[in-house]
Amino acid sequence: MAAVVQTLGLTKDYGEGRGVFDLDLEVEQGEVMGYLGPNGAGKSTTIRMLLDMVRPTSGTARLFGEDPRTGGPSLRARVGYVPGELNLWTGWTAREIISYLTTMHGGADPARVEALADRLSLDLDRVVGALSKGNKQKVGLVAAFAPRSELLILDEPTSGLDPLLQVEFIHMVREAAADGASVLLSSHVLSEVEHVADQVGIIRRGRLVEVLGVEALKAQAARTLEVTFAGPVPPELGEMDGVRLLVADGSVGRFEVGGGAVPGAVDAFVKALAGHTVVGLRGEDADLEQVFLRYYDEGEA
Amino acid sequence: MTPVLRRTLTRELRSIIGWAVGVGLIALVTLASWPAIGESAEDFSEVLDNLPEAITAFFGEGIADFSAAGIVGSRLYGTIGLGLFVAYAVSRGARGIAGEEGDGTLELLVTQPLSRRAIAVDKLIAMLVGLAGLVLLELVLLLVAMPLVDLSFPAGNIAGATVGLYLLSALFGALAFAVGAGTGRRGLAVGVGGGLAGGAFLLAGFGSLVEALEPVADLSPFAVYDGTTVLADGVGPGPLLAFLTGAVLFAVAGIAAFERRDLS
Repeated sequence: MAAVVQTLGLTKDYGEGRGVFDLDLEVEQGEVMGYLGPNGAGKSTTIRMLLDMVRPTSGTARLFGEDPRTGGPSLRARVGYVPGELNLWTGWTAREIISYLTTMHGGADPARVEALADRLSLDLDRVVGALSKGNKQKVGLVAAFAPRSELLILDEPTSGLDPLLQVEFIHMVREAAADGASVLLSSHVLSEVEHVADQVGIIRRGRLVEVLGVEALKAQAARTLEVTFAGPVPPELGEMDGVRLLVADGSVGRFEVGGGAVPGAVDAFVKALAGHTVVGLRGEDADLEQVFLRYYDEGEA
Repeated sequence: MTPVLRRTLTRELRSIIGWAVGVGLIALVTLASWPAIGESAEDFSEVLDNLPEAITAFFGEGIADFSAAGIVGSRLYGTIGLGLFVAYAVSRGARGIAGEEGDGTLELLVTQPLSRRAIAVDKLIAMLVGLAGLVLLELVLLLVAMPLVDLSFPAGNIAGATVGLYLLSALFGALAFAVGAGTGRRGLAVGVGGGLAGGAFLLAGFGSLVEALEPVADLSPFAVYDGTTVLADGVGPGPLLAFLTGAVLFAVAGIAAFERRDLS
């Protein structure tokens, strides 16, 4: 399937190590790509190159096979965008701003605008100057989703939204993807994208560290297992490859097992447990945020 | 009309009222006070005759004979009036691109299915339309009030003065636009546009006082467009064409720079 977004060696060098370097990123049609990285990693710079606000130092970017630089208005007509730092014109109601933006985008069904605003609990008749950051964000989201664009580029779109609305937002992204839209969704927090992204690209200091599926990311996560033994905690279990004894309290031991580095660790650990009398066993969910932070930290030292 | 132009003009309707009041007041006060000033013209002209030539030269040649064309022209097309029009053009020119960029709203515009050129042209048109409104307002007030205060200037001279006023203001407006569009910095655009206008104005005045400045002073657009003489002598096509050419060049340069640079 043809890539909707494709970058090859895309580079924007701002000097002093700032910018985006050698970025190879692909988003296929109907795919939701989470684009993750700490603030200042180069997420917005990448997006701005895709939208021809910023011109690459080298490398190429393609949207629907076209160069954003030369594709011009007809190319951007296929893209809905919510900027990371959303500033809106003041003195207008939310409805007027949405109509201004969607008119330029070829128009949007007013009923759809109403419906989207309703889902995000946005009052369309409030004047924008008086709106909170979260409400302005909603205006941007409604304006981007209303025209049913083929590609949605959303830069930190849920910042300022309360958790209930973040869930609603995820439904909106899923629906768009189900309709065939492709989505590039940037965030600095994994939890914002893990429930909606098919793939996750991790960028750190301007370089793409890894692109992998959310499932693969989850597989890398260490699990915490709490085991209650008939006798004292056998110390040798904590010395196995890929296993760490976190706490031992009498007969109860908490172990961190797995974590990407040692793929068979869970299996080996369970088989080793079989040699002991186990009274109780409790597992905790993988902590994805930890995995994700590890990508951030690698190379920091 | 494009959404950007409509939006910019609609917003302008509110803020231009203050400028219109200013232009209206200057025109009305100047014209209404003319009968009283005119009556004492002889006394004034005696005073002026005794002033050093350099001083009268600084205030404009037309002041020297204390004619109606000189006094009225100086107010409407020379000093205060001209300053107001240039200030308006510079402020709107600078605001065009750099204002939206500074407010952070330009990002939403350029990521729409609009070319940067189309956005820039819309912003320029909005500035030119607003400026035309103010210049026309002054023209209409002058035409209506002239017969009431027994003033009469040749129609051709009024037309030349009006077009000159418009093009000269547009010249500095286009300069401010170009600096704003090329750098995204509104303050810089206002500074360069307004600063150069003020500097050129003073240069034209000082040029007649300071010998060393004379050759450069002739380069000042205010040396060829002197508000105190435009109503009496009219304005030739040369200066008008020069202003127009300059304004177009600035506009084109501004759009070209805007199309080429990274936006914040």
